[in-house]
Amino acid sequence: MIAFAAMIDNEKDESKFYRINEVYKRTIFSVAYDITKNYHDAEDVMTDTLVKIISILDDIDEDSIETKRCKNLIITIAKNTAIDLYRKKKREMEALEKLDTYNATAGVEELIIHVEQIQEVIDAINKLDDKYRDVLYLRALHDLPAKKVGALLNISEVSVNMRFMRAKQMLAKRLKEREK
Amino acid sequence: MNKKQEQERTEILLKWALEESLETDPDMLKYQSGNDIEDYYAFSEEYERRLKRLYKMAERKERRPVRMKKFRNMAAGIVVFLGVSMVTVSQVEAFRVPIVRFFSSIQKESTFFGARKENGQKVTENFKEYEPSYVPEGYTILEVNEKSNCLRIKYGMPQDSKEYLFVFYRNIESVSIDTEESDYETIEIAGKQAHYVREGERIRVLLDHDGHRYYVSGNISLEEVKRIFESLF
Repeated sequence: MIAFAAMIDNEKDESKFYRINEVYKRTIFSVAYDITKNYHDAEDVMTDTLVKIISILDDIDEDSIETKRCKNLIITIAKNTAIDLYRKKKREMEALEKLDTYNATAGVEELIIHVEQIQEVIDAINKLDDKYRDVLYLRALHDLPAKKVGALLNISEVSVNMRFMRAKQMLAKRLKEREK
Repeated sequence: MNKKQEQERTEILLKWALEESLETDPDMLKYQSGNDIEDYYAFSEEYERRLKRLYKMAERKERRPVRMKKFRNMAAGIVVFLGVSMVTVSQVEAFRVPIVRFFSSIQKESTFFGARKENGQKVTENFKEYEPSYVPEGYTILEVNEKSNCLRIKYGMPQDSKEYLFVFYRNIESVSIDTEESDYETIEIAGKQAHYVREGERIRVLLDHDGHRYYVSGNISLEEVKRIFESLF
């Protein structure tokens, strides 16, 4: 009986998604309009972005909605969604798989970071191409699995893993160059 | 420090570096305040409609874990309640015995009737009152044979190949019992005199009551035969 009595619904006034939309709708629209240059397309991008956010709602901590980390996540999703739509509209064919391949026979740099190298790592991260930096943020900072990252960026899981590996290799290479 | 520890440290430091890099991330700086859009922009009605649908979608997703938790709690509560009840009932003899008896009797009745139904053998209204209500455990009716003044019911226990025959005669003069080369004695069953003959494992019992004759023969114990006759009167 106590078990039954304990199941009382604890309704919150604002849902997590409502809060995210209220905090970031202008940011999402800014990103979308900046890339699509069209209000109607920007609204489409907003809708698609919000759908993607709903798909990873469980991975977003309620207490971290108004942090920079969450903002970065929202911007990354919005930006990539806008780029996808823009490319579809312009009918550009980008061989994403071709760009993602890398020379497997080349030497593989393993990423090892020491505490004293933090600032160098930060600089190296900011110099990465968007597509590698976005994957790095989503996988390493937001701890999203490759499948979800692929769905957010509209690329295959294989591409996500390859970009992630490539991003870490590029960081490792830059750190090694700095050492010299 | 071994390789695994080194990798773990690298992961932690990478995460830290990524967090710190947000301060100088180009996109974060570009879309800092979200004031790039004109203040007077009003979203279209179509967008507002889509947004309402998205709110519902999000609400369903957010409530799902709560609902699942509720159902799990309810299921757990019911299981615990039933478990405690079962343990309590089985421990207390005052509860256990009547319940066990009740289910045993249901099982017996259903098995008995099920077997009857399976065999398709039934005593008609003509002889219903003369059919024994007691059937030894494991036995089922194999065959029913009715004539104007006689009822024959064959019972069997298929798994053990045991059988016995029950016969009712309307008239006492109709039948006699052969006692040659067998053990014979008179016994009392249900306050009446009965003739009991034993030939190895087979027995035959004959009893008269109320102008009718009752007869049982087969691979069956005398005790069971007594119960069969007792169920008739």
